[in-house]
Amino acid sequence: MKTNIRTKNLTKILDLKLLGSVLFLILVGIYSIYSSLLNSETLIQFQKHLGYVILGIIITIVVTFSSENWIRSITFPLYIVTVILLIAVLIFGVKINGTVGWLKFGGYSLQPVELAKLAVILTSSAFLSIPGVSVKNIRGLGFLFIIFLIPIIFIVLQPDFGSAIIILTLFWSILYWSDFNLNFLVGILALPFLLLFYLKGLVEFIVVVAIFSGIIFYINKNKILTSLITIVIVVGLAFAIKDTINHLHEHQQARIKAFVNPEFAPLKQSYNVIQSILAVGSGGIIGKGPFSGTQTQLKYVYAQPSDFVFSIPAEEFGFVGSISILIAFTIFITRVIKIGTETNSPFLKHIILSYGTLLFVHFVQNIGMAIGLLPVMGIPLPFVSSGGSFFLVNSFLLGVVLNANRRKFQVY
Amino acid sequence: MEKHKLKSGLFVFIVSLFSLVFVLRLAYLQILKGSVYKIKSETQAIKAQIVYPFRGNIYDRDDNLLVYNVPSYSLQVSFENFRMDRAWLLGKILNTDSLGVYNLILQNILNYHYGEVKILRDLDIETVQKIYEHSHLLPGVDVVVESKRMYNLDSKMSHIIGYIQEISPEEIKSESYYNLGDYIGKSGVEKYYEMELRGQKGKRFVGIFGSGDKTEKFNEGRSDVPVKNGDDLILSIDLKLQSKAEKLLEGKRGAIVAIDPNNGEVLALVSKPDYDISTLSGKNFSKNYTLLLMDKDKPLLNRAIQSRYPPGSTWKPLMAIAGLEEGIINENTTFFCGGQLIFGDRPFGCHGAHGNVNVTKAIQASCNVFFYHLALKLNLERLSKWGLDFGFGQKTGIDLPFENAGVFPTLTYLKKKFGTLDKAPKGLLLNYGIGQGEIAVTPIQMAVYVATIANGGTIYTPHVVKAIKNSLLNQTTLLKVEKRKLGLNPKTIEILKKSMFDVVNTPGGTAYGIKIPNLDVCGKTGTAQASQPGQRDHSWFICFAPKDNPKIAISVIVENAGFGAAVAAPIARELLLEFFNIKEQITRVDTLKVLPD
Repeated sequence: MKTNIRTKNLTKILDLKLLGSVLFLILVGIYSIYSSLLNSETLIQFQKHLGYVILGIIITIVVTFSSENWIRSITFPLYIVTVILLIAVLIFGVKINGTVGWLKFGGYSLQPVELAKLAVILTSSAFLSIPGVSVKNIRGLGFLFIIFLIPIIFIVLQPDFGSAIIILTLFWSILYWSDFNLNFLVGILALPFLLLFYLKGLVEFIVVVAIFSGIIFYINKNKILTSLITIVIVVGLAFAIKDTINHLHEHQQARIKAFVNPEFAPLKQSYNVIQSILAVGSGGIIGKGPFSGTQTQLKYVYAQPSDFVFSIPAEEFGFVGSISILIAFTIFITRVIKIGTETNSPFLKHIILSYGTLLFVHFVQNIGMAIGLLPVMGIPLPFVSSGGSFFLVNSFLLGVVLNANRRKFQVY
Repeated sequence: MEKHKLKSGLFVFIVSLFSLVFVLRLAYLQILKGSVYKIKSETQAIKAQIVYPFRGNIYDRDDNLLVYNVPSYSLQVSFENFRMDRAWLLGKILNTDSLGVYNLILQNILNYHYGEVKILRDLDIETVQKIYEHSHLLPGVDVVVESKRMYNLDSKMSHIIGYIQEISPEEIKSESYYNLGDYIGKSGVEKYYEMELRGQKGKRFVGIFGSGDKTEKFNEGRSDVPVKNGDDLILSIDLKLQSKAEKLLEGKRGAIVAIDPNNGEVLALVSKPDYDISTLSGKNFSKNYTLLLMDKDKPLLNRAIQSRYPPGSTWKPLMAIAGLEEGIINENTTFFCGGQLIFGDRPFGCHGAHGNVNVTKAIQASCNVFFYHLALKLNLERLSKWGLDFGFGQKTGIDLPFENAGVFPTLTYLKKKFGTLDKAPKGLLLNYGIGQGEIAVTPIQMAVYVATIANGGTIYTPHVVKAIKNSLLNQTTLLKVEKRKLGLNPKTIEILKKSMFDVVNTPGGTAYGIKIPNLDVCGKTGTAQASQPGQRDHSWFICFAPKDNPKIAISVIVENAGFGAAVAAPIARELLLEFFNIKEQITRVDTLKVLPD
């Protein structure tokens, strides 16, 4: 009887929009990594990626059909293991690009920082789903913060500030989806963007302020005073920080300027952003054709299969290809959020909504970097970039989303 | 629940907002600026490499290969990718140090183009292999294959074939086809047929990796321009005759031109002294070229087409033709020669007192007095007309560079000099009558002139290249020969041939000594005054054979050698023996008994 229901609603359980967009992104990733390695001596990176795709699909299926309790049961051990691995990587880790982020096992490498993203999502969700725990009391909030703080400390020591920021945004996300003060959260989120665009130029700044104000007015409905106060505080803070920056030493200012405008970044970073923009731009409307992008095939973009993966389809399939990827991500994230809000189990709900945030942050940061809008950080594009650890983490979290979706239909 | 809806709505809104910003940014980068970025990316990633064609080969008229190419390896450095800190490695391969490499680069910096410079030519295979082995450590260092000219010559043929050299920075300004470092023909047919020989450079587009490495497979040759190898030249030169002619003139200064009177094909063309072309091909060019330039005998000068001499008595047949054609004389008209002609208050001399002479006798004995009288009756207008008709004072149009037109006083020139023709001193006319005065001719002009008499009045443009072979299609195209008929009366030709026959074959003829049994040779000797006083005269001989249906016409000049009959005529004789394959069985010519012309 039970199996019958499952089969009947299989299409609904699987959520074709969600799976379709994920599948599309996986294919984009497979294509891109293959294309970027065509003129290399070895395709081993591509073969590994295929292996991770298969392993990832298995993980997704397993998690989809596992019980909530099983997920809960692995949460704490996973957290402990992650922290151990984060410490281990500081001792035994392999240094790549100035960061000790990889543990090598034979031909394979593990990035504990990616695992940490999964661990904090599961642990914080498990914590918040304990009856009586609330972010509104100081003990709850404090305990929650510690869950995030421990891995962040080790990650900063690597040092990998990009991932540390990502994990901080996951903390923000937990608060956002809990009953925390929205004005505060939106203000905190908006502040870096306000600052970023303030440093870029006045017009950009005004546009961002306008959008921010609109959002604040929207969330406060008719409480105009609250809205105005929030806006004034946040924008005022932005001014204050800008002013502080203006009083910094010249070389410090230069560093910030370089962070904001990749064109002024140190040679290697700025070179890469310029080459990535060149790859994307030169794709034109329909692209240079499969395996025909000069930037990609002749390896002008450094770390292309991982961090700058977006520039591959953008060059070889142009605007059409780029937009398809944007649409796929938008659908994917939207569906995850929708399933999250509709989930009854607080544990799964927190996981899924946090995952939505994780996807969103990675999507925005990675593509924003590849097209020269956002500073350079080594943040992979979910399901597209090469790199096994993050792919498997995503597979697991996708499994949780599908698991919750399956439950929803079993309830009816 | 209400709050959740607000939050998820807000979240989706923000996601969409970022997507929208990205869409706008992508539209800007890919649609608005797409073509700009495309050009930028392709300029950095795709470079056109020049594919050099092989220069055409050169054959003689019997298909003997004279000039061809062998591959030669050159070391090329591209500045954009060359790593100065690896200069030591390149230095080690080249048996020098980094300083030596920098020096090589500096020495060749003038030849820099498209960021690439050839720093060393003619590498040996071992060095090439070493460079290939270390290519991954030497970005921006390439070995390019070029072709090197090889000469397979029994004879020198220096003035026919000519040499090639790297194009000079001055030349390149007017010749957009070339790049610095390219070879270009500098003399001979190498220069004249440069367009045919050089072929057409091709272009191959190669991908340049971000690391500076090159890849051949990129772009799969879709926009490549195929290379077209140069066409081969088939010369009209008869190698055996050419060698013989060179030997005969060895150690002398002068020129020999032999042409086929039936079509203007040059069978032999010699200018002495000459040089060895291979010394001007390759590394030692500058040294050897300077030596040749400084040689006082001017071996680089192609005397056959560039040097002009007074024609002397070889001019007399032209006077005879003019007289006969204009009806001033006929075969029986005689003038009295008493050894000289007093004109005005000046005596104009002759070699002897010939008595009453007709035109045949006058040519045979080279009587000056006869031609003084004829010149006076002919007057300047008609003399000028006939000189010009035979092409004097104009280039023959031979397919070799730097031809000299010679000097022939045209009416315009004379009018300018003297006001009207009547005011021109009559003595001038007398001098013109015996090929002296301002008249100056080149050996090629004389060869064409005697060939025209031989063939009965048709001027064929002389040429050393008979046909051009397209090596790709293996198709040989004969070159079209320009000709101009003078419309001479056959009777005139008959008289002239008889007269010139007598020069060689009748006792009393100025070249009687060179008579060849069983071959009817017609000729005319000449002695031209040297331009510098005190030097011996130049020795001329022009001839053709056989008298009927002539197969060859020859002009020979030997500088400062004395009478035509003494030096030039015997040379012509040897050539005729060679050409007609006649084995000599009788005595040598006794030069002391030769008559003056």
